[in-house]
Amino acid sequence: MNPRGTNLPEAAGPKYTAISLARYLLCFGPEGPERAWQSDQVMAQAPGQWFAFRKGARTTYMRAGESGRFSLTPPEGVDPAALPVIDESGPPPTLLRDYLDSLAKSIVVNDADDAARIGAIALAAYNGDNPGALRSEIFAICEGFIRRSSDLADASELEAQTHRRFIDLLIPGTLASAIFLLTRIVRVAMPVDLVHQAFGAGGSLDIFNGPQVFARDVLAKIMRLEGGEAKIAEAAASLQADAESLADRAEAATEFGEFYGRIFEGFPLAYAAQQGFEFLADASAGGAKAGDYRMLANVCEERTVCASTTMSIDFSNALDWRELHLHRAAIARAQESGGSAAAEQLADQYTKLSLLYPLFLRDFLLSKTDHLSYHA
Amino acid sequence: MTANWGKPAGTAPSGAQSISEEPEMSISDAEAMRSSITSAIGRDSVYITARDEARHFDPLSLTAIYAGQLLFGFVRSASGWLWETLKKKGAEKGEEAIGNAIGDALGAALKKVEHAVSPEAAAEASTEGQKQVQQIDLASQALKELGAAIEPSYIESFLSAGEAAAAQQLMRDNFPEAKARRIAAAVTLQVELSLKGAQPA
Repeated sequence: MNPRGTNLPEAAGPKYTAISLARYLLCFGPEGPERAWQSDQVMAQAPGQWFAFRKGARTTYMRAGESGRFSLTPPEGVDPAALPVIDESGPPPTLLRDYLDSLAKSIVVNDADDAARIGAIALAAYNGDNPGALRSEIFAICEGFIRRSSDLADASELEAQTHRRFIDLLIPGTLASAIFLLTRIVRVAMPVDLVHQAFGAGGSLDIFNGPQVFARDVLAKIMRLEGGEAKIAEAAASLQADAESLADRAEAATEFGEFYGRIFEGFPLAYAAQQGFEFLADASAGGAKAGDYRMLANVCEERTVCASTTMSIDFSNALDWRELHLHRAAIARAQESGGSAAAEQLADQYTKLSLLYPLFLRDFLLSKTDHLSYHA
Repeated sequence: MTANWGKPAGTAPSGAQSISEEPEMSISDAEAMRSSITSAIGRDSVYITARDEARHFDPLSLTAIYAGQLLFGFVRSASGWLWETLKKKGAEKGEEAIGNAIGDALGAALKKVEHAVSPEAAAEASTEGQKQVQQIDLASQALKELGAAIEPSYIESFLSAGEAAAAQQLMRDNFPEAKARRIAAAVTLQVELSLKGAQPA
């Protein structure tokens, strides 16, 4: 069974489906999920096959199937020219966002308050990759936080406010992570306001091409200041530690909502850390620390990829438990071919290693029980 | 899985060929031993491949093999420490031959352990998951014999030497120190249980 595709059924539980879809769309930004929802349909037909994803001048590579891989460079032993190409140029589709909007409209019949909330979330999802909406947000940060000298309280307040807006599903993870990176640098560099100092330094500051480009421009300015590199590294490490802590809490979660909520909450922290380390790796290319920065960026990237996959699985399961059935069947096949140890190991991968499901679902995944419980 | 299995024909690593005994430990125990270490690594498995170009979506198989290699490295370092310690002790007593210093049972057990975890045996076993489990089984059986022959006062230092080596290996493989020490401690527990002939935790 192909779990993806354009077939989005009528939701049995529209509220939970809407929230899980919004988390999937907003954990990073809506374009990736919209495109993945369609490309996964193609990839599902060819497990083990490498695909080239082309977007403008950039090409990345992904291998389909259970033993999937992702690479920024052509994979070893593969002729890139011979790979099937998935072209991601052009405006992203809006299939999932349209579906979210339809869920909001269906909820209005029974609960006007919830419908208004879901409606606001649906709007945020449409705006999640809207250059104009993102530019306004970035401009407000420049004017309200960066231009004037900030203190610890300002940074903490903006971080808390951003965190609240993110978990309320009102801004995408791309924006939240850029803000977290800057507020965290301010916090670790105090009493020196590096971000404000950087604003006064020369160089470009692009607010028109999305939060990631904006964040990199600010980091480039900070890098030129004394102690800038060390403070960026310290901020990224601090954000990574916070993301790890939330992943620990997800692993210990005793309820469905808590599990998926913590993973969602941790996403922009891990992505902020990834951006910080990636910037440092590029900026110090050839230097002694470049390899370590790249390695840490890769670790954070693994976390964000897993978190995004988990959000996608939560949404698919909210529709009709399609992914849970597939994973349970995969474990049953492992049991048949490799015995209980192989089945247990696969259950470990789905729970402990990749955090796709809460630990308390382990017995259900292993078919030791047919009772699907939402809590431990 | 059951305990009913024999040493696989033609697959014994060169370093282990002198071992003639059939494994006594249940193969599922060896699997559980490796699984406990894999579980301790958990989602920190991302550090293992963090310097690779490609990102992996199926961490399990790779992490399980890594867990086995970590175990072999632990036991190899701990055994090395024990040989050196016993040699020094023999020299202090004026014993000319190491065999005289440590006694037949301990010497034989230690040799078995060394063979089971030799770099060649560990490398050959690490090419395939099930082959590695069988080699872990051999190592665990040898550890059990060592545990029965070794002076109890040496056990703590044996484990400490192995744990330090495992932590160093993990740190060389990108793991932050705190995570490396936590995982190394989990390997120590498994080796300690093997020395005592107990079931894996």
